[in-house]
Amino acid sequence: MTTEIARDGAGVSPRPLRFLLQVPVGPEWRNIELLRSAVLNCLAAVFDDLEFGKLVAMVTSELMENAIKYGEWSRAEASHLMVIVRGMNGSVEIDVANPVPRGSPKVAALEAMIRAIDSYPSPREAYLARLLTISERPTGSSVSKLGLARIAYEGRCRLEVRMDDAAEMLHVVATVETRP
Amino acid sequence: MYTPIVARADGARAFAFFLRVAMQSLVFGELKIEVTRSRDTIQLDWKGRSNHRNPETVLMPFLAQVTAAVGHPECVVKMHFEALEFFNSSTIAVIIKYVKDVRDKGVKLVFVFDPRHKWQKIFFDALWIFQKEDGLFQIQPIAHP
Repeated sequence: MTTEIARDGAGVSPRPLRFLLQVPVGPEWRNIELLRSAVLNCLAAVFDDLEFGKLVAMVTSELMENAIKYGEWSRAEASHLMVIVRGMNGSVEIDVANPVPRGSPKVAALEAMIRAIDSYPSPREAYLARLLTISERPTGSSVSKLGLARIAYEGRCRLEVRMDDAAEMLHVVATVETRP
Repeated sequence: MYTPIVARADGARAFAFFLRVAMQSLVFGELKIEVTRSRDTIQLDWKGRSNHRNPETVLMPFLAQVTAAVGHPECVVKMHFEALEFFNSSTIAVIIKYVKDVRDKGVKLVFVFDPRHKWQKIFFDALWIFQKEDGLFQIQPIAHP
C-alpha cells in the first residue's frame, strides 16, 4: 500500500490537493467493506468532509463489487484486484481493476453500458430509467446492473473503461470533481 | 387490490405470522432491521450496513412476510432509514422491487429518511417517480429543528 499525501487545505477544496492510495486485494467479498471503510475515513480526513468521504467510498464499493462479480478469477495468475484512489488537483479518480483476458467481450459490454448511461440527458435520468426497469422486472431476477448508473448519479462521476492489454487488467475509472 | 392475509391463510396461521413478524427483527450480516408492530403500522427500522452479495435471498422473503402481516387496508408499512449507514445497489434493487410489489397488493408504504445525510437525500429524492396519485407510496424527510 502506498499513500502519499500532499495536503494544501481543508474541506472539498479548490486548492491543489494530490494524493495516492493504491492497494491490491484478493477477490473476497468481505474486502469490499474493509476498503469502503478505509476510503471513507481516508477521504474524510484529507478533505475534512465526511459526506464527500462517503461519496467516494460508495463509488469504490460499487466498483469493487463489479470487479469481484465480473472478473475472470479462474486463471491461476488472476489473484487480486487493484484499487487506486488518486487526488488530482480538483478531482478524485477511483480506479478499480480486475483480471480480464485480452479480447474478452466483457470490455465491449462494459463500454456499451457506459455509453448507454451517457446517452441520457443527465446521469439522473439514466438512473431513474434503471430504477423503473428494475421495478418492472420479474421477482427473482438477481442482477440489478444499477451500480454504474448509481456511480454516475449519486457519485456525480464520469465513467470510463481502460483495458491494460499487457497486464490483462480491465480498469473502470470514475472521476468526481472536488469543486462543488 | 388489497388482499387480506385471511384470504390466504387460516386464522391460526395468520396469528402465528403476526407474532413472528411483530416480534422478530432481522439480523443479516452488518444489517439489522428492527420490527415494531402496532394495530395500524408495521415499522421497520433499518440500521447498519447492507452490503451482502445477494441481499435478495434474505430480504425478499423477509419483506414478503412483512407484507403478509398487514392485517387491514389502513395498516401502513413504514420504513425508517435514518440510521442506515450504507446500502449497495443490490439492496436498492430489492427495495425498489418491494415498492412495486406492495403497490400491486394495495398496501400503503412510507419511507422515512434523514436529509442531513447527503447520500440519503440524493437517493430518496430520486424515488418520487414511484409516487402516484393513489398515495399508496410516500417519502418523508424527518424534520429537524
